[in-house]
Amino acid sequence: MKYAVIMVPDFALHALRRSEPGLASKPVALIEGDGRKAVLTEVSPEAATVAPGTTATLAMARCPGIVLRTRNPCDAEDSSRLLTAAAFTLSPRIEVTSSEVRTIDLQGADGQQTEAAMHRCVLELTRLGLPARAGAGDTPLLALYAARCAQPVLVIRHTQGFLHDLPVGFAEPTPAQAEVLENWGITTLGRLAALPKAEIGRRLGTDAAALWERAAGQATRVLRLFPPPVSYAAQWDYEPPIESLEPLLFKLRRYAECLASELRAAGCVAETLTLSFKLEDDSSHHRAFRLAEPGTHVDTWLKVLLAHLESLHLPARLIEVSLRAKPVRAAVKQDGLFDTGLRDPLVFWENLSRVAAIIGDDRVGTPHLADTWRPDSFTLEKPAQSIPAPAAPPLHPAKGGVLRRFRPPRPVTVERGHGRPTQLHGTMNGMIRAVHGPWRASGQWWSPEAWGVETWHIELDDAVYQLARIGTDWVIEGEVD
Amino acid sequence: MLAQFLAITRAARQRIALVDATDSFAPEAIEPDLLRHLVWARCHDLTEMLAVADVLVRDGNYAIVMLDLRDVPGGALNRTPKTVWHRLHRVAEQQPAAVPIFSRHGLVPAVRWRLRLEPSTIDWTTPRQQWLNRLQVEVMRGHLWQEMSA
Repeated sequence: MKYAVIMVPDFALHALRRSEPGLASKPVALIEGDGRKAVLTEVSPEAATVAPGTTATLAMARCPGIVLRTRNPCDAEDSSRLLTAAAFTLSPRIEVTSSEVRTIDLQGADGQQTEAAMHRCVLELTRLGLPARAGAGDTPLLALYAARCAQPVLVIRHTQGFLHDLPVGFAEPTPAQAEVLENWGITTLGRLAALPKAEIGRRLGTDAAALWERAAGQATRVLRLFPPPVSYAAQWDYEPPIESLEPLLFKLRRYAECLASELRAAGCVAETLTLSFKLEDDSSHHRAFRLAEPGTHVDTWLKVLLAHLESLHLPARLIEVSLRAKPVRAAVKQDGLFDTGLRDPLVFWENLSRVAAIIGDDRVGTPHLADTWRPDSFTLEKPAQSIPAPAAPPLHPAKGGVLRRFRPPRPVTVERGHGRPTQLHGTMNGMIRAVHGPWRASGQWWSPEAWGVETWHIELDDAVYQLARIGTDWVIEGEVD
Repeated sequence: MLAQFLAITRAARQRIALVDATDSFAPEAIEPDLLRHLVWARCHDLTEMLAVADVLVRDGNYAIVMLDLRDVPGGALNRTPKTVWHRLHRVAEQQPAAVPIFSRHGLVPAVRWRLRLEPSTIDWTTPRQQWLNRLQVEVMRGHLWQEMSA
């Protein structure tokens, strides 16, 4: 097989149902035209008493309760992107043949792996509300025939045998050609292909020669390749503006699924999600969420976004939303045999992202001390996947209490006697009962960021505090527990 | 006490979380190796701390989730509905994590054990481990308080 086709029959109808979940079990039809001339173009299986071509008035009489809708390109946009993203999981060379058909160039691909990928692709699309079919063959046309016959995946291995019993209608003859063929008793592609091509052309014209090629599965063409997405972003409007979370979350999920599919097709995962709102009063709101564990799991994304949205109060109603995912290559690593891993890694990284959404990306993680003596110098890093074995006990174990910092430090005025602090005034007051120190440290004297600090531990009536002199200023840096 | 929790879980290679209501933890006061299994959440206020605690206590990957409320103003703690603590208690009961809460006053209801820690005078020459062993612990509330007191 050299080509594959993924198609979603009644695509517009399924896209409409994805955008309006309330229509799931109701009889629905899409109409074209206005007033009395409006006719049904696509009909859901629930409306069995009507068929495409029926006028809207007749349809309502024959099928009470039928829901009629016109085509809305906006409804189908994210569904169309999903279908395209699914096609990109099979090959980077795809063609957007029509709204419901994607043709994929499989040349060079492994047959067995591709067939398995087609099954996965169809299952995923069906899960997302787009019941798809996939077919594969040696030409784009054969792949399309296969997709039309697939339940839900069909790979043509013997072309002649496959075409033999297909109705002539598959080759799309003109009405005049169809009438002649019917008079000749030609009802299947196999019987049409059995006739000599030259004689068909001589009797029915050059168009009939093309029809014969289509019937024999020999018609081929060059695909108009569709470029893969260069950025992973989705933007949508609300008309009228919205002021509650529910409609936002509904569309957020749909577009998140779309972005996740596109990322998976490109072999990437999302490292950062950026959510932007445009409000009715022309103001805007932006927030970036760095995912603790980059991935394409939509439920995790939504939990992270929801953790932020639940506490968000905006000054005006929402008119426009955009969601952008920053892609990175998925990291692949293997843990050591004796490493202590996580009980549930998915939950761990998901919850870490939710915590980051609540308090900020830079405020959660594992502290890593900087290589300096400068006080309060550390960075917060991503927690390790597995906890390494403990290091040997330190040669000089820690002594005294543990500092708890006041951030920011509290400025005080210090009275001194014999070069040592004796009394505090300002944000903290009191006579100093005992004092330890000083400990002096300095660094980066060669740069404008030179620093120096003199630290004391002072005992007041209630507790022990860490007092520091930075230049001429005194501050209480924290309490020693 | 916090340093002791870090040391115990580090030795057992378990994960520990510190939900810091007022961002007062000083990592440089702890040996670097005792920080490698720690997840530190630096909250801005009590509301954030409660939201983060709810997420981390439910997680199931932590042996201990420490909640540090020591510098939270008493007024803010008093204003917190008691149902919040009861709900957290119920969640914690269903998870493997121990949830020690550090506060200056016994304002947190719905706790199984309430301990009052009376530090002795800080001894700057004794290793911290030995100094911690001299910590006086009084059981204020607990199912087995008599045995603990004994």
